[in-house]
Amino acid sequence: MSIVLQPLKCLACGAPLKSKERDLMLICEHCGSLSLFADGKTSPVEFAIVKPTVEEKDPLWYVPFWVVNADVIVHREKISGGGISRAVTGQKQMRGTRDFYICAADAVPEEYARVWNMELTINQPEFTTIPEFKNGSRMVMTMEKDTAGNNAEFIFLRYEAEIPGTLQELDYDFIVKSAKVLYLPAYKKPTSYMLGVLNGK
Amino acid sequence: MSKTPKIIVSLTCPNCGGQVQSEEGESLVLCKFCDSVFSLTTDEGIGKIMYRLDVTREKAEARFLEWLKEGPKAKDLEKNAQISEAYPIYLPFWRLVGRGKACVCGVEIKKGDKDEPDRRIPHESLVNREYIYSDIACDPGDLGIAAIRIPDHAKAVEFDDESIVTFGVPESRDDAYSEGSAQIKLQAIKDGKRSMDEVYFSKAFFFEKAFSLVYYPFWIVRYTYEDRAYFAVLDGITSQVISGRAPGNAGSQSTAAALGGTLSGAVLAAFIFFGLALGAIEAIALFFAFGLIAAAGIIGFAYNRFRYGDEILEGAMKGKGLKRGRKQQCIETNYENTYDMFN
Repeated sequence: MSIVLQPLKCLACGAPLKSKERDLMLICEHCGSLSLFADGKTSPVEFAIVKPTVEEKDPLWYVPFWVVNADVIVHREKISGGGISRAVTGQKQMRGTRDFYICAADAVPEEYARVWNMELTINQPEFTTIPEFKNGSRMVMTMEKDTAGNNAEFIFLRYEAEIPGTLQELDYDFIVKSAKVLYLPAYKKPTSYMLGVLNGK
Repeated sequence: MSKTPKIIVSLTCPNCGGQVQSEEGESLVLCKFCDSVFSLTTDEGIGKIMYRLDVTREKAEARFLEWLKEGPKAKDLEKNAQISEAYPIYLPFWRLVGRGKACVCGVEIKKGDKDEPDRRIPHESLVNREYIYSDIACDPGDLGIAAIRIPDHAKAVEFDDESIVTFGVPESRDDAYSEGSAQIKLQAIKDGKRSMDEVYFSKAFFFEKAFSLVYYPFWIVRYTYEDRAYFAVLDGITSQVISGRAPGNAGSQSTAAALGGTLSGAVLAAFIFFGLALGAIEAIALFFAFGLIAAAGIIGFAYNRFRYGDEILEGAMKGKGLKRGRKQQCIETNYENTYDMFN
């Protein structure tokens, strides 16, 4: 068996890519363009950087998220109990076309990533974007694009299971339409993380 | 097991000649000396990893002799067994590491009393765990090995098939991957099912972290005893006996049969005695029934010790014989960073 190490080059200017960290989003030192490493090669990627709406003194990081746009079509669902709680809390059903947010950085502990993913997916916030990683650092992206779609579908199932009542039956279609990268601001506190949007949830 | 061991392979940077280290399953490789970034590909589409054989022949034979003394083996086995050959061999295993996530919904059925109907209690669960799948990638014949557990201190070295004795791998990479990911998804659903007697909905996902073909070292020790051939397979890193065949202890078998018969008779008699002492016909019948069950249990245990007593089968060996030791399961769970929900 032979192992081949193929040097990666910038898609925009052709310069050899350099990095100190295993980041699937590779930035070119020469022209500054970002490209995505997937399936053994670099490819163009749609991405945006979100402006913080919360200001803190702690270090600011821009955390990569996969934003998966998908259609959720539920043909049949049966939930045992919990009807009153659902009515009182006015819990919305997760149906139709929506964006699913999947934290794509291993550096963020799962306990925060899980909460952020669900909060952002439920709230479907609108963000103001900025052209550069202002006053902060870009966090390393570790999740591949292919994985994001299935993670999005699991978020949908998690939501269905976590709403009041006990899920018993579910017949649905989950159709992924597109996926893009969004860098969301977050503050790294001594023992926790805080999102720099959504009022710091 | 606290965490999944990482397999690291060393390569040479084509840009600066520095040593580049790549972890299992990684296709993006960095050189820490010149910061160059590479895409790692293998000509067969799968990373092959080989482990260093740590156990010497002397250590393997010494451990083998210890093993001969363990369990209900023939009494004079250690004295009269003759090692005919001992040699190292590498066996290939598919190894798939990843996260299994599942949503499972269903009911638990609690049996009702005479007048009450069964109660159907709805349950739902979410499973989110890391699993490690391993499966032998060749036909190992009668060696009795199906899966491996790689110890934390195992040292991975660059794969070199010319320096080792091994078996061919007939199964394709894609088939092995499909089987492994399917097994992990099934395990996630099984873990989510827990107390559910009927499952109405289940869906599982697999998120790959690493997939490789692992060549793991073993020592095969073949020996004879009273003109019959036996063998043992030892782990080439831990020296633990993984599988093997050994002659049983005839004395232990006959003792088990005699003791089983005597004990079951005594237990039955004792239960009948207590029943008679209480007087009532229902009590006699009840104690007789308990006595019969206890006697049947003892006879069953003794029979199990006796019936295949002429051979001891270690590990995952198939066939007739008294089975001993632990069979390595194809799927292990890494419980670190587990996020389950059970309702």
